[in-house]
Amino acid sequence: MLQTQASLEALLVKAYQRTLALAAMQAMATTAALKVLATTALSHHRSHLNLFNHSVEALGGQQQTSPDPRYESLLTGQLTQLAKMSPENATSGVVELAITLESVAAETYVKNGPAFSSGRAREATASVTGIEAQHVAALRALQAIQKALPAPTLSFGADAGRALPASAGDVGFPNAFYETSLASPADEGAVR
Amino acid sequence: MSRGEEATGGPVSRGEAGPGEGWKNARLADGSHNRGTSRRAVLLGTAGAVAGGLALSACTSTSNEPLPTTTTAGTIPNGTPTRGEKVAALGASLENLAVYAYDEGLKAAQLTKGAASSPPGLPLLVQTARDHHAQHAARWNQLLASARLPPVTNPDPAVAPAVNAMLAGISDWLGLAQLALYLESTLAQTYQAAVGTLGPVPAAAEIAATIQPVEMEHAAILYLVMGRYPGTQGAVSDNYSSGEALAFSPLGLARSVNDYPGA
Repeated sequence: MLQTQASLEALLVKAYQRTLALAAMQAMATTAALKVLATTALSHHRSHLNLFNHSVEALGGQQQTSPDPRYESLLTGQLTQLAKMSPENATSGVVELAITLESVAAETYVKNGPAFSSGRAREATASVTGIEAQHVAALRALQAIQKALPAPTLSFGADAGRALPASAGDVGFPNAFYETSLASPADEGAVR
Repeated sequence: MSRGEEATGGPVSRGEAGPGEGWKNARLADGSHNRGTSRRAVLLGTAGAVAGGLALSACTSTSNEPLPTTTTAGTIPNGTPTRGEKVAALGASLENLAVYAYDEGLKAAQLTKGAASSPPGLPLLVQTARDHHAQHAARWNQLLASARLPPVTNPDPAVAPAVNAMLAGISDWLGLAQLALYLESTLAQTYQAAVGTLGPVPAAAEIAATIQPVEMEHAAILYLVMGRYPGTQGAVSDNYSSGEALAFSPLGLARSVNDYPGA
């Protein structure tokens, strides 16, 4: 399970690296908040990858540095499509893609966390789960703002706080209990 | 606010300034704002915890015994509750406290002069989070019922003083948001600790694992409406209210099951 979690982190690192390099993300002044979010999430996922791999090694296993194979092909296809889109559509697509991949990671950790027999693995996973959930919540809020404003120029700050529409105050948390339907199987990202 | 800070809040007295429309609509849309734990219950819960701690009953959770028909304020029956059951009781009490705090905080914020300047998304955020907490409390009590333990209907007595002090200090929407952030961070970190320390796959760990990220989501959007990066940040010294975005959820505000009377 830890190797699968490492593979999901490697996937997210690759996803944010590639999406931040898209021409749309480089060119648009309107994506300041999205860039901050993506850059911060990229840094977080690098740290998570290191933590999971150190935990694997401490338990006598082999590090996993390759992206999750199930979603890597999806990512490659999506990146190709995003590169062909208008800047506005591309940035919306980046948010949608990030929500999907972050949700897979968060739901996998919700499912895995209590299942580890190793206390170290449980603690490591629990320390990461909520951060991924916050990435998803922030992305959903950004998506709501993008839909409400034709050309959002906001950065995180008072403007963003006021840009979240009244009807979207709950957009970041659609359920009272976190779902696990997207959770990856335990051995999906195992080193083979 | 530090853990264990003494209660300073008496009944909150407010002026008659009208609430903003967003606040009013959020309250009207719910129709359930009187369901929550009352301020009196919180204050009694704090006092009752002391009494309950001194007079613990000898209930056990064997299936041959009838369920207790009353709930001792702030306690679970003394006997041999499992660690998971202790976590369930602690979780229910913290969720009850959150329901109470959101109900009272909404009322307080509605009556401030600055209510109309609230960020548009905040009323629905607070109302939805409040409803989530009521569902979380019910889930914990369901687990307690399955172990033939009485429901915990009172708020956490150890955290209530700090919450009452923050409630008494609410003078605008930001005060409500800061109170909410403190509660969400406390809840999330308590559940994170539970997942880490409970053994593999007891029911309580699974419940904690499905609730913890939801509290983190609440916190993320609270940060956003407060004009900050939407993620846990800073340090326990200021209740994680500002600073660098953290890559790992901290545990500085986590409550121990040993904090809970009778546990």
